[in-house]
Amino acid sequence: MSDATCSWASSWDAQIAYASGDLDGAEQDRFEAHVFGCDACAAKLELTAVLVTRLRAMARTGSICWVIAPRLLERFKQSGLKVQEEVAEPGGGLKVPLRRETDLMVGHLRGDFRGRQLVDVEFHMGSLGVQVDKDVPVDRPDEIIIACTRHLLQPTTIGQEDSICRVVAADDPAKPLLGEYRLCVTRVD
Amino acid sequence: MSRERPRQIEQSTTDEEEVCRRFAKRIWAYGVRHLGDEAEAADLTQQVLMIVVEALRENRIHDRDRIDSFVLGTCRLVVLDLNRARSRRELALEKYGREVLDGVVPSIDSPDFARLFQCLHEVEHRARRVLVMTFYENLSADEIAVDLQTSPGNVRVLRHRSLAQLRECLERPSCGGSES
Repeated sequence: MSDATCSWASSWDAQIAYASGDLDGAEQDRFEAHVFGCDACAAKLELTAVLVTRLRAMARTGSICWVIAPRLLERFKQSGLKVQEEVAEPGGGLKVPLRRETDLMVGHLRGDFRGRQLVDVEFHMGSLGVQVDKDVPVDRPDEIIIACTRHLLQPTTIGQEDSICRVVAADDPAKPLLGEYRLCVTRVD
Repeated sequence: MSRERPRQIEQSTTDEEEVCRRFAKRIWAYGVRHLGDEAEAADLTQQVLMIVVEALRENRIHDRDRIDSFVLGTCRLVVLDLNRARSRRELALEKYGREVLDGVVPSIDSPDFARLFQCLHEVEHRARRVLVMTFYENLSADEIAVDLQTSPGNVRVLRHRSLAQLRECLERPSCGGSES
């Protein structure tokens, strides 16, 4: 095993490329042949693999993206996740009970997003602060889909205060408000 | 039984344990890459180690210095078998329904995930979307690029940076949320 190969295989670049499937056939073979014979590189790969599996597990339950594309929502449903879907009109809100069997709470925020490529989605969560998803691609002209897994819905805030979700045009310097919605989960079983 | 035999058995057992200890995590990481599933990677690890241990007992691995190549080669063969089995399982899933045959969603309210979730708050939405498309939807950089209306090179940059960001965050003593 050469030092150059070891130096390459132990690099973060190569580890991520391997885990993501970006290495071509010959590079992948070379990487694997080296790692199986090198304790140090194998130890690094194990850490990389743990991170990937954790991300995959979180992605599977809808815990990574809080604004999602319609395609991803369909995939969640097909995978067996119990999805509870609610609709909110601009200026309105979602005030709904979280059902016992729900894995993923989905909000269809209706509005006029025609001509918009990108929006910022702001989650104003009262005492929990503000989370902003910037430059979110607009997948449909009439709605933005937000999602939250059950375990992330804080029991201490459920039913006690409203969160506000604001959709702002990201591709307009004036950042006009396109929609504002009140969000409140009233109960956890 | 000769007086030598118990020592030979003890040495063989030690060798087998050493091989298992040395290769288990490598096999598992290989399985994560090629099977895309933690549970299947664990299955792969068990199957490959059984094959390797059998080969050791039957003295079929002549050059111990090349045992790593033997293990890797075994991984490749077993993955082929597992993928074939998965195809049959997928057909069964379509026929009989995912509710019956799909695995249990792993519990992600454990401390292991809490920290990672905190760190994800620091990753911009676009990069998180790339992570989901890569590791959940199993899309290539080219396919992701079309969806995000960008280049495959930019997809790889987003992925690389976000994973590096997560790794750094996880290694810090504590991390907090921020705008993404």
